[in-house]
Amino acid sequence: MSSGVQDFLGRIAEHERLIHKVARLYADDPANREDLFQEILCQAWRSYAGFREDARFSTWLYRVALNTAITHLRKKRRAGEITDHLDWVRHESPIDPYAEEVELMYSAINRLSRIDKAIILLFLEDCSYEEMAEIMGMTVSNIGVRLNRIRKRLKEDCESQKHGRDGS
Amino acid sequence: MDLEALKSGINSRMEQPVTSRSPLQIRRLPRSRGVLMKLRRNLWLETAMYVLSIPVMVFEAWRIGEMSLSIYLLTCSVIMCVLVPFFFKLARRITRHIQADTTVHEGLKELLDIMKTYKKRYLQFNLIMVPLCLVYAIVLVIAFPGSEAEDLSTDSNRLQGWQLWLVFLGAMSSLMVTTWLLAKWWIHLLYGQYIKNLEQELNEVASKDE
Repeated sequence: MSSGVQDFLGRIAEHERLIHKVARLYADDPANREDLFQEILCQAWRSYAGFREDARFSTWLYRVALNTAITHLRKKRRAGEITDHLDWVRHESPIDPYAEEVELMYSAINRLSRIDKAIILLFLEDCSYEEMAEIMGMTVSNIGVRLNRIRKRLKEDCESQKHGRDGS
Repeated sequence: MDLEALKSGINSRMEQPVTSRSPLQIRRLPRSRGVLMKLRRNLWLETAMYVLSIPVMVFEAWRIGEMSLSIYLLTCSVIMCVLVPFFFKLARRITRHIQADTTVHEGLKELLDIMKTYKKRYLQFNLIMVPLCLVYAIVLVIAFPGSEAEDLSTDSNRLQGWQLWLVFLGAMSSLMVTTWLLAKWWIHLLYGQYIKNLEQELNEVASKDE
């Protein structure tokens, strides 16, 4: 294996969780997730030659992963196939209320648009507004405005889910 | 529940591996299913086919000796020569885009532009190739009656100059309309929704500070 490949693989191994995270958020079922994971990996390898050492590897990888995930062609599901992110939430439905809150938030995030998902993902990674703007190609103030709107929407969505559960 | 706890809870949920495969399998990369890679493969395939066909067609035109067929083959070769640079240019542009390090906004913009160019070229080329090849072939058979086309030419000899042009224009325009509609329907079926989604996402990213 050449040193370039080794170097790439070493760096990817360090940030592998980042790709899993993006794949989980942007694809609904296990098969699509695996496809997207591989696609991000392929894309990262193809554009690795263009990676400038002065930039942070994680920022570059986020750019590649989000670009790939947002533009990934969504496969039409056949009738009978179900989205399993909700199933996944249901399977792991725990008893303690904190975990329930996490579940509600997770399913609310899943309902966001692809662009909003990217922003919230970066927020969860503790990226600064500047870094988010650098990855997304938006202005810092726009990131701030959108993030506030997304948080508000998530809060409302979680509350309505909670009321729905309590009501049923 | 405080924000940090919520963050770490969601992060730990999202970080669960989506595949059991290790990234170390990078040396045996699967065939990409990305839209751009598919488009690029198609374009390279078309370019390669044209590049291989052109010399064969020119050679056949010279060898065959029949005027109508020679003119037809040479015209098709000329059209292919015109198309090859377009395919090549678009394939190169896709390669550059795939290898580029762009922000989400730039990436969406470039991808949308590539998709629209591909769609436009696909329609244009269908509009040129199908009617031209079919109608031109008929016209050549009429203009150069040979033994194989004797029946057709005998009938066509009854047509006068203006009538022949009328038939030619009628056939050409109806074929063009049909081809246009079919090609448009097909490209929309393949990429219509995808382009619409990209436009929507680009609008979201490009929206100014609200």
